[in-house]
Amino acid sequence: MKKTLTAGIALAGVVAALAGCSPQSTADADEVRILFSAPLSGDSAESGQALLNGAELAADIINEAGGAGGRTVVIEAADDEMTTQAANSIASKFAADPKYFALAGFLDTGLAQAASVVANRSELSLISSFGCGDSLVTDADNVFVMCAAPDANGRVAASFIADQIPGATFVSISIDVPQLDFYFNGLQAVTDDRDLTWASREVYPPSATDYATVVTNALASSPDAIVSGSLQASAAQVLSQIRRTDPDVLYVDMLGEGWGSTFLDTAGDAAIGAYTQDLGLGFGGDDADRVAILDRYQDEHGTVMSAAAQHGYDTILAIAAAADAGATREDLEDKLAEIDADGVTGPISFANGKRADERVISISEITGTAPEDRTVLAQYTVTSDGKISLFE
Amino acid sequence: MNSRRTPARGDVFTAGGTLDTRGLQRLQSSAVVRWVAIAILAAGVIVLFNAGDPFTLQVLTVALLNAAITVSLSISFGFAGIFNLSQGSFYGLGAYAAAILITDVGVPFWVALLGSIAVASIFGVLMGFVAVRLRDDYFAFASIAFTIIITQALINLPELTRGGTGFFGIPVVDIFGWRIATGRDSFLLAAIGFTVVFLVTHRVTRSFFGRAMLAVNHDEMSAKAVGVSVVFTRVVAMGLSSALAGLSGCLLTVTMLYIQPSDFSTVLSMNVTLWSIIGGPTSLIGSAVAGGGITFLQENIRAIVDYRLAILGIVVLIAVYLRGGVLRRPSWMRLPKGTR
Repeated sequence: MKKTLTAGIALAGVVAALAGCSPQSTADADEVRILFSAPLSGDSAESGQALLNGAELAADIINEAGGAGGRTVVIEAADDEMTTQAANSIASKFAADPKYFALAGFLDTGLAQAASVVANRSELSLISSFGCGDSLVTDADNVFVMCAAPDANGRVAASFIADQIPGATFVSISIDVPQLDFYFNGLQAVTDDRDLTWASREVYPPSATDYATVVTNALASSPDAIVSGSLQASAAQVLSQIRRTDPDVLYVDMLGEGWGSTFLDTAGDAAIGAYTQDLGLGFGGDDADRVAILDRYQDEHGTVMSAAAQHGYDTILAIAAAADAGATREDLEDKLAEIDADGVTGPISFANGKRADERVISISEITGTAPEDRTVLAQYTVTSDGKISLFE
Repeated sequence: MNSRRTPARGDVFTAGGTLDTRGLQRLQSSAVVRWVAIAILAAGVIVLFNAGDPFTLQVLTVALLNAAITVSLSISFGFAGIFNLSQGSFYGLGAYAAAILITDVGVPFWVALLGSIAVASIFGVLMGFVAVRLRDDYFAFASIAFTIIITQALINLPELTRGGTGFFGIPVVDIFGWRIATGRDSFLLAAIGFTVVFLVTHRVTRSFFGRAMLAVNHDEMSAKAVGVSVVFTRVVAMGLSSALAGLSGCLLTVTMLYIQPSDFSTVLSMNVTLWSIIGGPTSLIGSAVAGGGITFLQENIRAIVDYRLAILGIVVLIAVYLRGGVLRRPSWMRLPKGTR
């Protein structure tokens, strides 16, 4: 009895002490501290680290220029491990501690959604940098979304084909997962508008390692173009098999992942001439300031600034603009609606809703086997209401 | 095990002798009640002192739910000896059943709770029949396959489950006028849920059925010889274990208001089994402390996150060496050498 009671009291004490150790502090008037959620471990760590690197570069550049309204921008990384549990904890840490000015990041729509529920209990908002799903703006009312809706990628792929080959016939080859329905909706919408012919939809299961059947079926209708709904490594394997039979058919990405090292290493020379889709303005361009940012990122990290990194950068730019306009963490939502900034992915504003009003998506031709070997061929502006036009 | 003393009423007879259950009967009234009272007291203290701290409340809510599913696993894994690596799936089935019933069908919380328990227990009973046919590592493989099937089904039935991006738009529930709208409400509901799961598991494992499960686990042939139905025991054990996991899943849905299929993948099921091994598969308090405590520490001591798998692995090795978990169960419940 005595032993049990002693152990119980000790346990209760430890739990209570740990609970009491939870982070509680006051906001530092000289800093804008941003809690930045990204997967820094596990399968998605590479993309998560890129997202974070972009955010940290933005903080460095803003601080070198005098900070946000004179305040130092500080990025505090939090590993969300791509799990709802970790995302919830990060959001509750943000809600609990007034030292955090904003919660941002998120590579995944679901995690941003989970975090939004927790933040909403404290009437706070967050910014999803690279989780782009429609549910974030339809089912949550406290999430700002930096990227275009997934159907925009389908629209851009079809628009590019229509611009290159008017009246073209194309087929799609994709992994068979329900999430791609959003992309297919965009593809179908432009196919109807631009008088294209979608000859067939070839799919393979997520576990597939052999793509010969889908490639043979796809090429049977002698299409002018093939739209790829495959992830990096499998997209490269599909392309390699296509090139053995038809070296000239257009191969256009629909997912907007920005084909990188994995794709290029797997496809080798077969990658040359394929068309990759990047969320944002793509690589290079005429804007000297933007090119300087891309070059600095490449110097610091030894790789090109991926779309994820660019969105991480622009997220911090947007928050700093709001802080500069006098926002507090409680009224960040109102101030974000007033910003008008130029980011590395294009213009940033939220005047028409919580998804960025205009987003740019680029199509680049791959010209070599290094990630930077690509030439931007077309840039499309997608508005938050789904309209698409060539970027001016 | 004690083969020297004179068998008493309520003992379980096995090929190796008689399983002494006198300690078990003593435990029914005293120690467990004290422990539950202490846990509730600790929870009350935390709520009183941290009522406005969303982080602590959030972490404790998740910790309590993880403790609940670990405790519920004691029935199938600890007592019935079924190598169940699918507890996370039953948790997920309960969570999704509640989400669909509350959001799409519009039923009140209590109906959703019953629905969650029903759905999870139906699948649990089905797996119970599998457990009758397969043993040990063969059943472990089958339960992993079941977990993968459930996860894939949740992803690939978007009309029902909203697919891989998760179940959005779950409304705040109302329980007899109590709206589960804040972190504090969520914590209190999770605490009530954990207490219910713990006490039900405690009663089940200390009943005749609990002794029947131990008998089947220790020596199937002897259990049959004294009239214990192996089929009934295994099937009901799986059904009860999964029903309580389904109940916990329902509480996850109404406290978090968002769920996604990857939350219930093999990773969760493996973790629950590891927590159970660490705490002691037949120790309800050990299971609760391991499931809840590891979750709580993981979120509070982020500095060791990079080493968590290594630390967990070492603790599991210690638990296996100690035969019965780091938080050891009473000696009368430990299995004799060579039986596992």
